[in-house]
Amino acid sequence: MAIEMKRLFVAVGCVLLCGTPALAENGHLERIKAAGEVRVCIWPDYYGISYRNPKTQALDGIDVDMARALGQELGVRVNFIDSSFARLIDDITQDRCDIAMFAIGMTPARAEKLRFTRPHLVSDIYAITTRSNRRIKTWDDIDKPGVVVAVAKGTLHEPIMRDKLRHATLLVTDTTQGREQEVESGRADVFMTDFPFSRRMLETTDWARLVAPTSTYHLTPYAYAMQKGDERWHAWVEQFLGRVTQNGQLMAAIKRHRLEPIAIRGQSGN
Amino acid sequence: MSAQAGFSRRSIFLLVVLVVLLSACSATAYGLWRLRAERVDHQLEAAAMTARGFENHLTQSLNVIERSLVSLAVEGVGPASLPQALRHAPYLRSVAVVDAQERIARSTDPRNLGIRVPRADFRPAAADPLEVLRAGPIVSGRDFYDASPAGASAPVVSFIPVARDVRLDDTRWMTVVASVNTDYFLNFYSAHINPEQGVVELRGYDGRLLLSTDEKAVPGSLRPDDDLVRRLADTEVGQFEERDAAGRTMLTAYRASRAYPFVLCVRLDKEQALAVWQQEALRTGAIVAVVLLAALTLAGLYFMRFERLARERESERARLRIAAIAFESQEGMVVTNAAVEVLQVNKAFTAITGFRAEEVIGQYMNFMKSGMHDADFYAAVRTSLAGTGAWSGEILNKHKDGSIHPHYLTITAVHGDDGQTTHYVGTLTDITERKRAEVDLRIAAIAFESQEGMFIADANRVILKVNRAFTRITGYGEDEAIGQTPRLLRSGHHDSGFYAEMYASLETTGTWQGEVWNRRKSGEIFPEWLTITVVRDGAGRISHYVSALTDITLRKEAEYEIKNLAFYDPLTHLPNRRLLLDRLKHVLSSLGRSQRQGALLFIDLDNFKTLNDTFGHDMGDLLLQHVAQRLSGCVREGDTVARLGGDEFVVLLDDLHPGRPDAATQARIVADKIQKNLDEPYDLIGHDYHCTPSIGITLIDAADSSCEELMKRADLALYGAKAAGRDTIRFFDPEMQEAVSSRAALEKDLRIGLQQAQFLLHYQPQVDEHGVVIGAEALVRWQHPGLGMVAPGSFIPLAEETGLILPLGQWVLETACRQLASWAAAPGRAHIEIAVNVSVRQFRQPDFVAQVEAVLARTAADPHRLKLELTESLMLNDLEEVVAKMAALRSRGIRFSLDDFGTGYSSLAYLRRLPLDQLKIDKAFVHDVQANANDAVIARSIVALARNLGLNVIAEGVETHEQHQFLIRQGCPAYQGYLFSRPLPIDEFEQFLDAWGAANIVRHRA
Repeated sequence: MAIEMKRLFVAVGCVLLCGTPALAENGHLERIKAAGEVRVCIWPDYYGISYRNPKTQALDGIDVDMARALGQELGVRVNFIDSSFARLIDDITQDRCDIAMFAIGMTPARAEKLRFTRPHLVSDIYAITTRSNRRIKTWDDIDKPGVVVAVAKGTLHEPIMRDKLRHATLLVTDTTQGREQEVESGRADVFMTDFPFSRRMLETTDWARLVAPTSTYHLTPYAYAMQKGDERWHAWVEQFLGRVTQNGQLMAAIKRHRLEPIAIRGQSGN
Repeated sequence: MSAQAGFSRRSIFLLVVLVVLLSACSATAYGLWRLRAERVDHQLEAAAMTARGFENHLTQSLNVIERSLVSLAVEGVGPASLPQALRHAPYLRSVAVVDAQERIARSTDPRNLGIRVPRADFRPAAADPLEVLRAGPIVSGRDFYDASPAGASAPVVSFIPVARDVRLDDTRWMTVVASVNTDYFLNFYSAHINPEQGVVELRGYDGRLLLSTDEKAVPGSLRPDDDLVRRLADTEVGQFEERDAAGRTMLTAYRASRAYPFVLCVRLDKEQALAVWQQEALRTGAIVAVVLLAALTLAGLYFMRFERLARERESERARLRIAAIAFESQEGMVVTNAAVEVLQVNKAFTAITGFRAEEVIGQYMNFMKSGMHDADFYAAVRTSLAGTGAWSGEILNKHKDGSIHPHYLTITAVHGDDGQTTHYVGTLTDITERKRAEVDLRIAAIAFESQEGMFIADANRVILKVNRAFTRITGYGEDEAIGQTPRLLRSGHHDSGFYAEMYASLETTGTWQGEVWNRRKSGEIFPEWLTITVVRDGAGRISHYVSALTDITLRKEAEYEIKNLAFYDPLTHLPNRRLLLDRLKHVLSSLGRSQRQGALLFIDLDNFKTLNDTFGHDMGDLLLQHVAQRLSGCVREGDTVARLGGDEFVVLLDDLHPGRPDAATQARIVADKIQKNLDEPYDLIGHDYHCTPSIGITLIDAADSSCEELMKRADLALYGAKAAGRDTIRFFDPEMQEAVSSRAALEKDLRIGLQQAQFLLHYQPQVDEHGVVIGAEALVRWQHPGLGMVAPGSFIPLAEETGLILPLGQWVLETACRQLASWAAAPGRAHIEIAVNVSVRQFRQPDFVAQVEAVLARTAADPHRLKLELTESLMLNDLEEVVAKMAALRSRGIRFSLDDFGTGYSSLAYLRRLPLDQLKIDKAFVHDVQANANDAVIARSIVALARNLGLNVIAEGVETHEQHQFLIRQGCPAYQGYLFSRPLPIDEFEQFLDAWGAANIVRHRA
């Protein structure tokens, strides 16, 4: 009962807070135009999607490309705001950014709070273990007694794995780095992640080993997220996505960042 | 000389090739061996480098761990600082503080709390606190809380516990422990070295294995043959080769940690390390081989070219030598200049023509002109020379001695570089001999194709050549005959002796000729006149046979015709008078030597003249041919049927029975047969014609007859027959005529007698030594209506001759058997046996056994009471068959007695083989036992013989008491004769039986 009430309160608060920019003359679009910049939330650790190279501090990834294309369309600067999956909902609902562009998994929990655009990628779940781990050889070795599976708090994998694991022990870490440390130190056997992050692990560490599901395990479509209620802003972004899908800009970006395996087929417009 | 040079050239070449090959191979081998050594060194070096790198990483990691633990202890172990120790430390699972009871008091993982961690587990061993990082043995499990000692196999997850005593102040110590993440190090190693590059091992100072990139290696184990520990004592860094448990040679580089009790080993399989070298060696070997091969091929090709040039030089020199020799060849040669003036001639030219070189050099080349050719001939020669530069042909030349000879001349124009003729070279051969031979050959060829068949065979008698006449005569073409031997023509008419003689004659005299019967291709056999001549080679060996053959079929036919005309009647092909007389003479002479008789029959067709007159001579001739055929069918093979002319035929019978009456009867029987046969109607081209013969017969008496006399007698007999009214048979001898006539009558009566049952049986008793009647011999009697009782001797021979003996014998057997059957039931007579005489002719019938069986069956007589009497003449027949028949009947119980024993053909061998029961001593011996000592001996012998052979014996013709007494003395057990009784009709015989029986009893009683 108390929870219900709290939820209701949040919802009302949300309407109060978010309802205001929903007004036509005071929507995100107008604010962006007025400010001359669009604030895009990214997770700078998201390799291939929105990754900040620690050596150069340069941003790289498909969604960085798409954000810049968006800024160009809008004719404004792009202001990248660091976020993460743990902070995503707060960052959006509290309007710290106009749009979150870092391949956000469309989960029901998030859909409750956020407004998603059409998905542009879809990824299954992948496991990362160490090269020398003797317990985990294939995907089927994961859900076994004694196996410790790490997930990062707030990621879409947390609820999914909590739901799916029957025998293995789930270890939820506060940070994404945490799950990697657990696995590398041997306190956990695997951590669950998606395709882009698994690629990063394989390319940047020498201990990681990919364990792919033997068949489709759990597909999650990825999209951009924004505040609910600002239909014009949402429509504008949808139109933008329609355009970049049509003209192949999106597909070119996917290819540039070698994400074809998770591209949503049929969106290239051909 | 040149062959030797070539050989040595080749030897040198091969030697060079061999040296090059050897040096190339050894250089390659040396290079590869060097490469291999370098490779091993390099690999070991690389392993050492790797070991150094890993040792560095290990020492630094442990250093960090140690410092972390120290700082943790020094800075205090708060709830916040503990997890901090694990941040960015993937090599640590957990850190913990151990209390005085060696139990974990605090830990980053709460599950570890309270777990005991004994000091003693750690090395280097130290009872008191020690300020160094100490390591425990590898432990299976994720952390202290689920630790278990490492088992026999590599654990799924493991850690190495380490401990550090930290001095807090002068008195206080704190012991901090950590579980070191083994996977961290394995990940590091496997990320830096492939399994192919080697295995990385982390080991304790005691040599125990802690970690290995080889998943099969078991941590905690000690390698049994390991000398790492010993080497460690020497030096902390090193490399060596060793053999592992699986027998592989391993290259091992090791390096001990600078600060901690761990050793890093990098081990690699030498074989694997050398795999690259092996590939390289193979590649190098292949390249070297290809290059060598190419070089050798090139050298070989160059050498062959060199050889060819050398050979060409040789042959050029040889050509020049040959040209010089050729000029002095057997052919005459002359060289002239363009103006046809002689420059040179050779020796052969001088030898052929007689012209010497010094006589003709410088002369215009017309000194041999014979004048036999016209201007056109020489013009043609000149044209040919101008056109083709050569001329060859036959030419008549005059020799120095003036004689003219045919030459074969070849003139060749020799041209200079400008194409102008510079010389003429003439080559000439004297072909006088060849011309002569050609003519001879032509003549021989024509001669060969003569009218006579000819063929030529080589020394092996294989036919080489045949002429057309040969083909015409034999039917075999050239292609069929050549390659065959004359055996092809053999008819089989000549035996091997004939041919042996032929070849013997050829060998000795060189020629053979004679008549040979050969076979044509058509299969027809023909006579030929064959002349064979031997051709010998220079050494006198036979090289060829030349055979000439003439078909003499026609000549032989003519000869045959002539002979036929001389001895045979052309119309009937029967012998004519001449041949008949010839044969008659022959018969006369042969009869003189034997007892046999012959007869001459003259046969004349009645009313033949009327047929001739009525139907013509053709019809008459046709009848004569028919008659000739029928006559030939009436006589035996040895007899002769001849035609004297007209309708007069003669039959000459040879080999008749001895004794005139018998011979007469035989002749009569043949005459009857002839008469009967000729009486049959003739079919003369549709006309049914009937005619009868008259036959005159004379017996041939060797003693007092000549051929002419005999012919006359037969003719007279024929005349008698004609006079007696035709279709009649007449003998020349009136007595003979009479005898034959009465016999004919008797035969007729005999037939009637058989039909009318005029025969009856008389029985003569047979008595044993006790005087008991044991049986009787059945004897046939003829009750002739006119003549009264006829004795068997008067009609049995006739019955034998005419075959009437068969029904008569059958009747006798049947009657006797009926008698046996009727006696079987009568008291005192059942034991009586009946002996029945069986004639040879009767016994010889194929179904005789069946006949007897049938009679026995019909009459129900006991076969054991029946005795068949056979005569010795039976043994002249097929003895096997006789024995078989006797055996068959004997198996039925019938017994056999041999009649008239001693008078005929007796053989002990036969006696032994025949299944006889009894011998019957002929009455002739019995009759004279008193008077004739020989007969007595014979009788005695027969009795003894029979006894020895186990046979019964009976004497017949016993007429007197003396005879009886004698026989009794000899041991003869049975008798038959008038002394006891004559043969009796059945009624009297039965009365006799009764009376004799009584009398005998009386006598015995007396």
